[in-house]
Amino acid sequence: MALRVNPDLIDELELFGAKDVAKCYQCGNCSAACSHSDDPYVFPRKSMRYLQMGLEKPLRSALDPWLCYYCGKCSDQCPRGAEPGETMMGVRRWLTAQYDFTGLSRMLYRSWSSELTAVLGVALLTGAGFSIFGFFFGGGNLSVYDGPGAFLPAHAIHVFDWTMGAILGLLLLINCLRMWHFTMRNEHSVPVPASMYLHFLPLLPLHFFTQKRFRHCENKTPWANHLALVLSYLTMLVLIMVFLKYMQAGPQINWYVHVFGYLSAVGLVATSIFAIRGRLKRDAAYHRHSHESDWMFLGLLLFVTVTGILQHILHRAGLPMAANIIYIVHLMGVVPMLGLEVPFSKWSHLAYRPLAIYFSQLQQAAQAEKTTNLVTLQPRA
Amino acid sequence: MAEERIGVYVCNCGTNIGKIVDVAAVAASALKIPGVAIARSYKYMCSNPGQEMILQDIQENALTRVVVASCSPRMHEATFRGAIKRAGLNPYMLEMANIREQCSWIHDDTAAATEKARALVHAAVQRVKFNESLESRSAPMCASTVVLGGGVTGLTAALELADAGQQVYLVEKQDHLGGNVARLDLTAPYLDSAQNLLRAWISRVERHPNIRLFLNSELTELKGFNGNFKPRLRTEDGESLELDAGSVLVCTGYKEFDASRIEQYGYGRLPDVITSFELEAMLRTGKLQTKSGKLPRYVSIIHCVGSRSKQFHGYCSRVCCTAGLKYAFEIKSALPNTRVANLYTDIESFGKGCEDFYRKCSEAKTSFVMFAKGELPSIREAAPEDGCGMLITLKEQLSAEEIEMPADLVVLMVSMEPREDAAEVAHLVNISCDKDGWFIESHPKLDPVATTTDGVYIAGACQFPRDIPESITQGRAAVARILGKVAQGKIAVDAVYSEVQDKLCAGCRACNSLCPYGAIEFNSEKHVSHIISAVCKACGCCAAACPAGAIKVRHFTDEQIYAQIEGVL
Amino acid sequence: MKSELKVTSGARGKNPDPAMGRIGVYFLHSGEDASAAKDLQNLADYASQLPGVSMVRTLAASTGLDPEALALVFRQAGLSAVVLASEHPGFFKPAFSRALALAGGNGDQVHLASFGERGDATSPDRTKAVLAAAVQGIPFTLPPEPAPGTFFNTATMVIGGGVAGIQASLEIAESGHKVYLVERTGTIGGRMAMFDKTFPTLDCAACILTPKMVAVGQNKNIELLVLSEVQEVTGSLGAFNVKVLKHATRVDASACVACGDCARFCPVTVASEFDMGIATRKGIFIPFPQAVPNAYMIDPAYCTWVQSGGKKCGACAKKCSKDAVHLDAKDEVVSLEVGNIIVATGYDTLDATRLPRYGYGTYPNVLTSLEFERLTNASGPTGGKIVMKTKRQNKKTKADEWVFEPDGPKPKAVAIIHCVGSRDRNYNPYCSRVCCMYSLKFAHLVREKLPEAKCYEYYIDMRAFGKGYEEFHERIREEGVSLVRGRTATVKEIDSQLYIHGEDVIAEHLINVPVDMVILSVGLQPSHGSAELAEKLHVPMDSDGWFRELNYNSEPNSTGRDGIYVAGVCQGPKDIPDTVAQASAAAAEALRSIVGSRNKEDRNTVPQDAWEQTTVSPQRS
Repeated sequence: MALRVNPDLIDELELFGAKDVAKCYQCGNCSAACSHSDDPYVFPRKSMRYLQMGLEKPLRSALDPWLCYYCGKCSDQCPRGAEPGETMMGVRRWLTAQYDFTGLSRMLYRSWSSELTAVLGVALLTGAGFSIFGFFFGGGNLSVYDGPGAFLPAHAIHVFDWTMGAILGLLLLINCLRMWHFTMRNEHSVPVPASMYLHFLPLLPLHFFTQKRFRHCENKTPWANHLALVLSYLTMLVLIMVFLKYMQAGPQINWYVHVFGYLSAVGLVATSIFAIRGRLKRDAAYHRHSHESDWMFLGLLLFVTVTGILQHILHRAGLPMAANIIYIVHLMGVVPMLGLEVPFSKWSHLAYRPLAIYFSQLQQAAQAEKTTNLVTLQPRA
Repeated sequence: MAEERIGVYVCNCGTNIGKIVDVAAVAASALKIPGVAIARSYKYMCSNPGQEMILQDIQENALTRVVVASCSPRMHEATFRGAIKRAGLNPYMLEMANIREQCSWIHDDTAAATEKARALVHAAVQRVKFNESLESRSAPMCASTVVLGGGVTGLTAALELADAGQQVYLVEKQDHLGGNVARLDLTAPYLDSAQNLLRAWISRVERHPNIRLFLNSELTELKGFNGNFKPRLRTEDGESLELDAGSVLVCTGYKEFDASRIEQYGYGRLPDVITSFELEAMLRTGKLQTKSGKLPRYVSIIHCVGSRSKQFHGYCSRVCCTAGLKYAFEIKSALPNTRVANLYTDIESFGKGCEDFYRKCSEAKTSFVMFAKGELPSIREAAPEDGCGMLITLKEQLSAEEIEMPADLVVLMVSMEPREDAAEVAHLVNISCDKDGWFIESHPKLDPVATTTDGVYIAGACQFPRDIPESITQGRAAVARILGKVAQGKIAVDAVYSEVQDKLCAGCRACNSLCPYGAIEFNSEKHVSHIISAVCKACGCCAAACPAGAIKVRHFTDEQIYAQIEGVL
Repeated sequence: MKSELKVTSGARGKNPDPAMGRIGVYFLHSGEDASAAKDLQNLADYASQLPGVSMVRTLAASTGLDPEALALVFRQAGLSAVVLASEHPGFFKPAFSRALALAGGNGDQVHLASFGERGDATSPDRTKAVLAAAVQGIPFTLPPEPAPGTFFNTATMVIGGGVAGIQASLEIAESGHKVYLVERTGTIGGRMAMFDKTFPTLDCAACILTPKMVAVGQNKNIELLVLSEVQEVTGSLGAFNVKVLKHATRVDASACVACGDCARFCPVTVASEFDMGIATRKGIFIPFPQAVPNAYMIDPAYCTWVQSGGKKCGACAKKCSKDAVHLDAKDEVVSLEVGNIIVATGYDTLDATRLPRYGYGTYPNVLTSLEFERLTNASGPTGGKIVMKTKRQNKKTKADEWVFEPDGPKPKAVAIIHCVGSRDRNYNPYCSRVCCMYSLKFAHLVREKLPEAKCYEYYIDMRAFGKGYEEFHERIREEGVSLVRGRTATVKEIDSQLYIHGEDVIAEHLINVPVDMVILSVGLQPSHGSAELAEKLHVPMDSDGWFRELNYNSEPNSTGRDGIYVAGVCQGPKDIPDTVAQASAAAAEALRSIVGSRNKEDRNTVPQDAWEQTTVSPQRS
């Protein structure tokens, strides 16, 4: 049965940042230049072809885009300036929107204004919400930061964090299931036995925490930067989700906890500034093009980190009221950042990429088993 | 017979001969033949040092005749005749043994090939002993030229000749000038106006004092020979007119492939499947729409229609790729919201500025869909719910998917093919056509505009598909030849021709109708046949046919032939 | 990109002429170049004065115009015709034609004033003329070449002795007119003389070229100046004065019999340019055995005698039995007077070291196309055997070097990579036009000479567009050559085994093929010094550095300057038949002015050999 093409797909993808794909004349140089591309996952050319042809279905069920880390080598060598790297980035944004069942992601990606309004809206709600909570249900006194009668008591925030975490986790889980459905349940994919799913499971945490595949790219800087960012971010996440009350306690410094905070704070500031600087200078291929969502993500990240540090300092400096105000401002960044970015936007790739690696290897293993009738493949780290 | 001193020269031709034939052995054995004074071998006999070697030997060793064993005489007979002429010998004292095309290239057994080469050389030596001195002569060169075809090639060639002060008779079959280019709007890749181009030339041609224009006219007969042709035309008002012309330039152009021959494209059946030329009209007037008057939302341009196919034409039509790109670009800029797709097998945008134009088209977001050579797409009418007029299905090569594309308008890039009257024209002017029906040039590389008939030249798309600049260039190339001859004022006539020995001729006229060049006429007073030596190509048909053996072919006399046969045996 | 419309101040049509209808003139510009915009303003004012013009507008436009928006404007202005003026206005015509049709007019009434159509249209008068012509709806034509002055010099200078230069020279000389053939190297023949076979007929290049070279050498009307370069060109059509720097060959060509004794005793050995450096020559040398002129010459850059200022060596002079060697000969400047000049300077190939990912210069058995031509050529270093380089120690320097030995190992697999540096914005954006075909030819030669060897071709689009080319393409396919669509990304050597790494875009898998020899089909680019020559000749070049024709369609071998013509690859990549045709065409242009010019002055023509007396009459007796 012939596949019906969607000639408008290429325009749709342009909104997601794939602006130059039409220039590609399909020489295949990019796929061969890429250090991750390997049979049967040969990219970026093939994904670009699906896009050029408007072959929506094959593109939606492709894992390839997630196996690309955008080192930019393909774009540098491209004879037509078709920016394969950026095209893959655009496809990843589009896939994120495809996985997202709420349709919110598509809206955020397609229009800058709606993304801005969404972020600001959530920020204001958060601000209002926490102020009201502080005055009427919390300590009620803006000049008390910690201990009993704190304006925003740690335990309350703790509960809030976990609730939000749970909701976001659920949303993300649903999207991941949809990803699984698209990529593992199409006519080309091989059915994978449950045992194999378990057998390969370790791949998920491995790639989540180490980003080690990224290291195969010829250009190592982005990998190092990305790893630093991920680790700092995770450290901070753990500190906040688990050790919030120690974090918030003060004014004396609890080195056992805070030293980690300082490290990750430094990591976050450094990496986000590095990224912003790169995107402004456009010196490397992987920084040459910036989608609005990239700026929003970096902006929020820096904002949240800085305000976080600030409230910490103010608190230690014995300015509890200022600390509380900044705290609220900080939360006004945190909530939209996590609430919008994680399930609906850029940060979701934290989940999708390791999943894609996991799925791709499952597919190969299942394929091999189908053809040779014995498990030949082991999880490849 | 007086004591002859014959020189034998055996050529290695790089390794072309040397790798199969033991050249030294051939030379050595030649030395043993009585009459042979010198026998040598050399890497490239045709090269300057090779020729110098022969020249020196002739002078120093008083050679009287020369045999060169190398390639086909077609290739180098003239070269070596020139060489021995420079040494003071009569050019016809040369004999060539073809040990390349007829030996080394077709054999792989060294011993046998060497033996054959030896035999061929021996034959040549025996023959050369009987060669006679012949003198080459000249004929006057008539300065005027007949140009067949008033397309861009004919127009520019005519102007070039006329500007050089020569009389031109421009003969066009149709009632207007401009040929196929008259049907174009813009030219690729710079999208200049084809009409401006034509109007400029036509207005000059019509006013030029040295150009006599014959519209609605055609050549009916071509008598005479190089420099002295007697073309006969049938003119507009039906009368027959004989002209004097020194040269004939054939630039009769091409016609387009009949798209309805490809069933699955549905040309003629599906209203919105059109040919490239039909699209031109739409683009020129800005009325881009389907037969039902709707704006096409999806346009597909199908390349290689009739070209690069086992079934139709094996060749590539050379211009359609860039033309297809042009249409894609034009449609996209006239209808910015329309999706334009090129269905192709290879994009052959090779010309100057064309690759850049290909890039421009990609950047204008026209898509490129690849089908496999021989696996043509098929077009069918779409159902109402499809939201388009037609559906094209094909195996898309670069995504390896069986795809189905919407289309409201389909443009077929029809290939170029020889005109239906090409064979007829070829016969009239005595040139030949290749397997596809294109006129054959005298040498595919170094002599692309001359033909096997002296004084008859071919240029433009009657020889093979060509774009405008290439056609014009060829037209001018032919003009160079003509002007060269005109400047000399005379043309050489080959000394090799047949002659009738009147006393032997019985006047049976058997030969008259046989001559393929119309060189024989009957002299009724003397009641003998007479051969016009300048027209005669010495093919020998007449000599073979003559029951009385009255016809002698100079340089191919009976004793020469018999000696050669003796030599081989 | 959407484009905005703006009316230029004071550019309202002064004198609409009802007879001519209402014409709108649009000036289209990229909007980037400010100075261009300024010139446009002057032109706009001029246009508004023209009869029938009722509206003049400048439009900063990309190609993405909106016909609907334009149609509205046309309808308001009630235009019956539109004139588009820009470098290449045709790019906008489709949009305007449709707009005019939408506005109820006749889309055919869009006239083009293309300034770019006639070479470099920098002269303001010309642009105005082009504009005026378009407004009146008549085609613009340059006036025919000016009538030559007091006398017209019938001699022609041809620059470059490749097949184009040879062809042009012979066309003119055989018509009985003088030709000065100026060649930079020591022999004529150019690139074609290096080739083994020629596609698609596979007849050997030497067999068809050498006779022509010999003909040039023997033609009394052709004066051949080798090792010579054009220094200065003054004057104009019919009367050019040219200064040519003639480097001393230091060997008297008329005395030299090319016996080679001198070279045998010459102590200096250097890489041979003719063999693309895969073979060597001496300090005194002849480029190749069939060279024309067929004489030895000295390379002063390496000659011991010259370098030592006459103190050392001089063996060649001593050994020459004909005393043809004059080591102290000096370069001289010759001045020529000619009526026409034909430029046929040909091409160089792209420097493959610019693409390090293909390993040329690093891996010994990665060759360029011309190197392979020499390798497979009967007169090449291996006598035409296709072998791999072998390592040996240089006797003098004791350093290891890789060289071709006739008995070297035969490659078992050969890869041919198309489009090396061509069709690539990072190198040459244009298509080099001949590479596909010569690559197919290489494949054939490999299969013919090494029937057991595998042969792969990696291409993007197969461009076999000439007479018999597509058939040749099919033939090569049937000969068992694997033609793979997909551009090779890298050539790597892993423990002395070369690997081709690329994607087969049809089979959609990555390829990592071990091969013994890689041939890079490097693109063509203008021969070095072209830009300088163009400057001396005052003729324009295009953005890629090729000589720019006066008009792409109608004047493909004229330059911007009367009496100076281009032939062959120097105007853009071409194969041999196209080159030869263009060379003859250039000769035609020259002959036109020679034969056509009245008061011609023929100072230097040598009379043709006297004709035998018998003359045949065309009349039937």
